[in-house]
Amino acid sequence: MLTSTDAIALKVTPYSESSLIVQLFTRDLGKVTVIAKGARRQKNPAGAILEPMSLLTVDFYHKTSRDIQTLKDVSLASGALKIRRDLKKLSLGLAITEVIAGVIAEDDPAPILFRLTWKVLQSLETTEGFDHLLFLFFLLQLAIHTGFKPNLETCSSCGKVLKTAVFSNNSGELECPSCNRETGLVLGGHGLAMLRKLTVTHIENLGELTGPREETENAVSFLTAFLEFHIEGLHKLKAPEILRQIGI
Amino acid sequence: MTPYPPSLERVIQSLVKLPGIGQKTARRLGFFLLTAEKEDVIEMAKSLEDLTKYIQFCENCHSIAEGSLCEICKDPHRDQGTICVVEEPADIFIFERTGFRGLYHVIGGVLSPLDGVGPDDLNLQDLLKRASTAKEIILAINASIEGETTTLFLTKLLADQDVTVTRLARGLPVGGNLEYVDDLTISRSLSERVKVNNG
Repeated sequence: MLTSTDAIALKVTPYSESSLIVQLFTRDLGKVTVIAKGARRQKNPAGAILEPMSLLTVDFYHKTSRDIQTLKDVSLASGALKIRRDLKKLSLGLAITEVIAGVIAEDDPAPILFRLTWKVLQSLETTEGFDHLLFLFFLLQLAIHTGFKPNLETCSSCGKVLKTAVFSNNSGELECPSCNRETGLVLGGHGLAMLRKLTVTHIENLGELTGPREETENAVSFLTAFLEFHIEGLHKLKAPEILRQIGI
Repeated sequence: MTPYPPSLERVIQSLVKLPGIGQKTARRLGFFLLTAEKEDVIEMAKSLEDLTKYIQFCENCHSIAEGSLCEICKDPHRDQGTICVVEEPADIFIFERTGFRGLYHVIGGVLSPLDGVGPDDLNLQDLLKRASTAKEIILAINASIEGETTTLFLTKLLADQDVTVTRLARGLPVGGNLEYVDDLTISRSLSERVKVNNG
């Protein structure tokens, strides 16, 4: 059956002399792996747009009994020129694709997560000045929509209101410094306040949120650890360590 | 249970490990080697052995070499102030065909957060050392997402050095037809268009 849908390219692997195997996050079918035959030939324009992070419209022959579907046609739904010229945007975009690839499943539609990823990647292309905040927003919304919303209000151990939170490596929850004396990740008052605000802020209004960059980065590390703990597909994410090495 | 004698089976299984060679092609090649001139087969085996014995990475540019330095690094007539940075040793030979007479530096891959390849996995420290005595560094890395990430990272890394950093132009292929060019390349060609008159 010929299926036409929007899709985000997640991972691209060369196959044989001229083809590509592409892992897609599709709007209608969740994760789908397709083969793009001849995509690496010079005269085939598909090769250039089948890259991680590309926002695409794809037509492919879908058969549930097959692991790899056959791509018929592909076009770019939204350009990514600005992302490709900015190291921070590129690196964060690639990190987003790694995270989402670990969360979604084959042939299991996840329309809310699709909309979230699409919108965040689009915003990364069109906005300036709050790329880390966009990444943080993505991680938080991902946690919320996969059913792992962190309790940012009270200590999971004693129930007291959190002023500073410590990530518990045992329970994967947030605890107050009195209950948790581990030397793990600590989120200060600013970071907690930022995450609380972020849970009720629309993506269009992210530019209005302000805070020290270190707090945003700390909150990203905090949420990454939280997601790695709770979501099986996200154990040992590679991108955060690479981002650290690149200095993003 | 394989129907072939063990020595032929070993050859077939070795050939299967090569890129683009499947069981069927490996069998065909195996049988071809059986019927080929004995001297040719022995010569081939010897050259493969020599490959593993003598080829190593150049201490200076990380390309392939027989000895500590490659032929290009040893050549004093080349432009010592221009270094072309490429991903893999095979890329060097593409630029050699164009008549480029500078030096090269092979970084050994590209940054890929998805595959866990970071700056520590690439030959970047040597590049930084070489950049201090160079006039121009040409970043000749593929225009893939990972390649662009690497190009931007190297630009940042070399920002403090007193050296001109350039990268390959992005745009239409020579002799190319607009009809066959993708939207991204067209957009990029438009935004990076060059002036052709003095007006």
